[in-house]
Amino acid sequence: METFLSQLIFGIQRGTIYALIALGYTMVYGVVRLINFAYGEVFMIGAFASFFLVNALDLPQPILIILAFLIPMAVCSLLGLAMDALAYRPLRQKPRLAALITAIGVSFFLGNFVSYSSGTTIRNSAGFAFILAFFLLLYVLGVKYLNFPVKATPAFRPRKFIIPIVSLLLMGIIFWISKDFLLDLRWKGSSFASYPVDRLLQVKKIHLYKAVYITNIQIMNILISIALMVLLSYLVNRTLLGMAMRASKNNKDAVSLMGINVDRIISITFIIGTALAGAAGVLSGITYPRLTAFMGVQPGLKAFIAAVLGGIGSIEGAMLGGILMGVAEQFAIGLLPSNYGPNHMDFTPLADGVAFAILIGVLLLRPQGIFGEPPREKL
Amino acid sequence: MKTSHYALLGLAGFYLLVMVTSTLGIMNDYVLRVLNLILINIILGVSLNLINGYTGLFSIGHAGFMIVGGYVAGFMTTLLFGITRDTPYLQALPLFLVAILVAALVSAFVGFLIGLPALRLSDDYLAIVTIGFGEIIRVVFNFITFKKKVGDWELDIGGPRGLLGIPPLSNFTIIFLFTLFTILFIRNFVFSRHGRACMAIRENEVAAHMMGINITRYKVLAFVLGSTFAGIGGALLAHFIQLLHPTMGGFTKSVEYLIIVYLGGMGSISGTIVAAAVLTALSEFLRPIGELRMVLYGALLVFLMLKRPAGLMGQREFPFLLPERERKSYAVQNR
Repeated sequence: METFLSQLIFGIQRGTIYALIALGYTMVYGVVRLINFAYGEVFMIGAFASFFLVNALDLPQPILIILAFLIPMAVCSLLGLAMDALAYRPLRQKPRLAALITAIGVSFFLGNFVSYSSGTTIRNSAGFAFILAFFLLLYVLGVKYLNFPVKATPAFRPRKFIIPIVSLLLMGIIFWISKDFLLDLRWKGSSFASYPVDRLLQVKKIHLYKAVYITNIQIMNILISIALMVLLSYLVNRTLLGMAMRASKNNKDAVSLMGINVDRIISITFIIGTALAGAAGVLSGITYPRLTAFMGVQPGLKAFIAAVLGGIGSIEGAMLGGILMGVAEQFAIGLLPSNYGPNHMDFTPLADGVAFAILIGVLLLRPQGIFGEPPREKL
Repeated sequence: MKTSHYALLGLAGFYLLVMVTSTLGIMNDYVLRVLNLILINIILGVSLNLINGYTGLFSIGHAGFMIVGGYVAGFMTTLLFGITRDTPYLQALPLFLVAILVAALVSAFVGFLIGLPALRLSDDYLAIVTIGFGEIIRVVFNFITFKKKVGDWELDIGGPRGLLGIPPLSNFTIIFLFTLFTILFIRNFVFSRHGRACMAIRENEVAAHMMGINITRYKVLAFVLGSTFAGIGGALLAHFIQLLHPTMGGFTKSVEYLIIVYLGGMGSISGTIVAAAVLTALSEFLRPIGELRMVLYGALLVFLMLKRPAGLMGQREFPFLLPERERKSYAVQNR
């Protein structure tokens, strides 16, 4: 009983993180039918943004906690906006497969970029950004004045290149300035960074029943996720924007005939989804204070499975699916023997596979998920 | 002389050139190694192209099938047959071929098990299931660490350490012959009645169904064939790099093969061959910049999809890869 209860608490806490990421998957899938694989990386970037922020700022704890959530969420939603504008919007009219492959490319790029630009190689990335900016500048000047390497056409406007060049330069400068700070943190992609939880709050255990306890981190974790989910439900079900989102899910053409800019709705969906993934990253950083460049891959995949379990496209489904997934995984970790038989076999590594076993079960028994509707074929 | 005769001559010439220069020491071991890797990547790329390019499915766990084949073959030669690097080559070769055959069969069976439930559903689900499969494979191979005596041999495939001490049985001749076999087999499949059924499914599933094509059957057939050749590729790779590690079946490796297929062109064997050669050689040249290579890979994939979604070759083929009767119509159709 006691183990059951404490595993349940840990499971719900784990599940809320999955649920927050799964919401992003399910919302974007509902509107554009795209599986955006990059949410795991957004999650990771959220955790790192919060990590740098908490390390850099010296503020009283309550303000720091609020900032540690809000700023990473803002960073992540900017990232989501950029992802949508650069990688997905040009492909709206192309086959869905193209966008799916692009999503894999984006996820691969972000993960490896963070891994590369960390720790000792931070100087290289500053240099890399400078070199890219330099070549871009050379290219623009060459085309404009020398007709080399390609002839300048009337469609060629150097002004279009200003923003990429300036942002590359800024990126290089930021990397260059922050290199000593980063080296000081001894963070390297191959190893890991530990999230400074003590700067945010002191961990306290609250005993509930015999040996069952709940920590204040867990309470905060669950409360924040519930608050975000309630906010999201309100936004989707009670506001005009939410109505536009639900309508775009049903019929994009009809919605645009009603004078709604569907592209804007899609961008907003991306912003909300990535902000939630960023919040999940911060929560995960506080709970499991071990950050690596590829920390997002596994939670990303599992959250996606949670979305499928709940019925992809359904918001309630993603919440329920995420929590179910977290609880199931936690029970697997708790119940699998770690020292079994005369050979001392450790079964706990198998818990990682539970999510995927659930996935295959769901696909066999109820492919549309718990809340999903069976697909209708229109010709 | 026909085009196919020139192609045969060219192949024989290429093989002789590599053999002679490598025996005489003109071509060093490093270049030969890269060449072998290119050939293995061609096997894996062409087999993935059959699934993703010709049948229009979306499998993103190709490395999972590769590593299943690798582990089966490596287990058989290293632990079951007890071949070491000192075993005389002629004695080890038949056993190695048996191991490759078993690896191919096991991969095919696993592909069947994964494909049958997943392919009855819509196309997104295959992507999900193949990711899940890759992860399950990783978890399982990570888990099997125990040593167990069965009869007089020990069952130990290493767990997280990986399977070590695999004998170096894949040499250039074997890899070359298997690559040739793979290309020929898949080309003949694609231009047969069955291949046309697969391509019809890619173009329009409903229309293909109306023409009386059994959709699920052909999807499963293409998927199983693809995973079979992935198993062969994995067996060859394992005996070439002499090491197997659970993470080799992961997502990162699968993405490499996806890039080969999409860079070359979906539905073009020639494109896959070119892309495998270019990318493998490029990643060797880019070795000095280390991890940045992976960053560029991700950016390359996005850039390709945005700017050149059809890949290098589109759906075109080199003339010698086309059957005689196809040559004219294919050239006109794809101009």
